[in-house]
Amino acid sequence: MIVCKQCGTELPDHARFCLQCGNPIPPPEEQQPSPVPAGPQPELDFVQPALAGGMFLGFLSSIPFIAAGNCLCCMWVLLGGGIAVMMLTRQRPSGITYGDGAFVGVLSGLFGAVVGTIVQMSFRAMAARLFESQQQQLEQILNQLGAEGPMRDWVLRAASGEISAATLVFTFFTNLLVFSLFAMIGGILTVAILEKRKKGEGRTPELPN
Amino acid sequence: MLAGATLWCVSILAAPALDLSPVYRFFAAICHQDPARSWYLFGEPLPVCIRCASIYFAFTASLWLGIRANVRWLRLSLVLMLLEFAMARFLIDTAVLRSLSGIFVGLAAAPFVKQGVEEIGDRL
Repeated sequence: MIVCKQCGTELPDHARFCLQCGNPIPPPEEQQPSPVPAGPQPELDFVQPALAGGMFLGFLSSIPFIAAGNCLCCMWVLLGGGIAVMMLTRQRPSGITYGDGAFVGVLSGLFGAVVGTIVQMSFRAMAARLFESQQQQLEQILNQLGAEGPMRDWVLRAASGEISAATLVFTFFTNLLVFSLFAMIGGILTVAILEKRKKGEGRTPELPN
Repeated sequence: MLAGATLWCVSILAAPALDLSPVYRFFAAICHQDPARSWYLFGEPLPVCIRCASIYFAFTASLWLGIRANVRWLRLSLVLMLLEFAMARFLIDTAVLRSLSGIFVGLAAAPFVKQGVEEIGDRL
């Protein structure tokens, strides 16, 4: 039921003119939106979701063989950012902005870089002991498989157990850059994917162009 | 954002051309770098596979072209990529399909990432 603004007569929902005074009734989309319960938006706690996302992506991106999942467009890192966003969304069911998603993604990437570097170095140290006597065998196997190029170098390097300061620094900063960047992208895309069909309050508006 | 994405793509193209091993090492963290699944430049494989290269180049192109954000296209492109990935495992695996799925995802994702980066820039 709608009400004529001119004379206050109650009219059916589909009325285009007032049956009493003839005043034109604007179609529903031109009417003022019904007031949404405004209320203050709850403050977001970014740390806990970022820690969870960071642990997820840091571990899975560093455990041998499982880490190969990152070969599919940095899957674990994107999912880590996504998990952080999903946890953040629980704090504010009305929705979060792309900026919030990006921020929590970057944070989880930073945490993930620390976790990932520690785990990678630990596995490398363990691999050094396990493969110490089998380095030549490994090279022979790779030769038999016809493995060449960067992948071969990577396998040999991973199994060598060599941990120099340069390796540590390079690994950490590579993780820092890659994890932060891709977790941020994962966070933003998760916000977009989870976007409700009916836009809610607090949601980032559509791009104008 | 645009400069960063362009630099990212230029480094991918420069790696084989200038024989930049640190670039190969960097991208090894995010791509399998299988030469059989990569495009070649000057006789050397790019430091990322066809799918990744397609995503990055399309992403940058989308930023340059100012393509509009569309959630439906994003969802569709991600579903298509998952389907393509599954198909590549069990049915048919071609460079054309890999590059097409990558292009769709790159084009659809870029406007959202751009907006997120702009918002995070405002926040900082």
